[in-house]
Amino acid sequence: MKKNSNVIKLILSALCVVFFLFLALASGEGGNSSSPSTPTIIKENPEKDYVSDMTEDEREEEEEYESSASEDNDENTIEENDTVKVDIPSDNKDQKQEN
Amino acid sequence: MNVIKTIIVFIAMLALSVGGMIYVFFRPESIIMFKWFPFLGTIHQQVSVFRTIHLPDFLVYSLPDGLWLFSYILLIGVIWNFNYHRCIFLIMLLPVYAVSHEMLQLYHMVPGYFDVLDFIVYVIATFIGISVLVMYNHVLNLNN
Repeated sequence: MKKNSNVIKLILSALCVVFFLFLALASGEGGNSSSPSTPTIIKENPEKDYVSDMTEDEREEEEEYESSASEDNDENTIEENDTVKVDIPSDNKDQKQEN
Repeated sequence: MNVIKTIIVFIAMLALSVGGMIYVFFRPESIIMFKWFPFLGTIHQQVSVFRTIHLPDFLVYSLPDGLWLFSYILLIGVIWNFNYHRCIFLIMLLPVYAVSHEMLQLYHMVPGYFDVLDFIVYVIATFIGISVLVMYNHVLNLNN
């Protein structure tokens, strides 16, 4: 008789444990909204990875391309004191002569 | 004896209900339970006005866990007639689980953030729960 009551108690306790574990699991975050406990990692500078993934040859090519591009830019930039020649179209020249 | 048991079961259910209501009414984020029981999710959305009330983080995030543990210890105690010596292993099962889960969060071995307040609440809830069982066991022994 006492054994039976102990078995019943054990079964009830096991059910209790399962129920409370179920509650613990069900109260975990992860419903429809995004969970604050799983932060997303944002890369600060994704270009860094792009550069590091390149081979050495590719990197040299990239550097050459960048340096030539910067030289072109230097040539094309107009400084404050530079004079700028503007070609007047020939039609305008003729008009001026007539005047 | 039965009256005491009924009161303890009532207190355990009350603690569990209060903890559950805090989840439904005051937790801003959705939980897995709302997916399993959509009616709870619907209630959670409908009572969003409660979430405008600013409650301390302790009440919203830590207290429900403590009430959950307290309720568990009381129910196990009632099942074993407050004979806590015989069921101490069962009583300590969930407190150990909760504390170890919190510690594993500290070492990033399980998802979630370690909160020292949760840890303290687990310890206090376990202490109060076991104290209640010890007290009633003492009262029962005096009566017999």
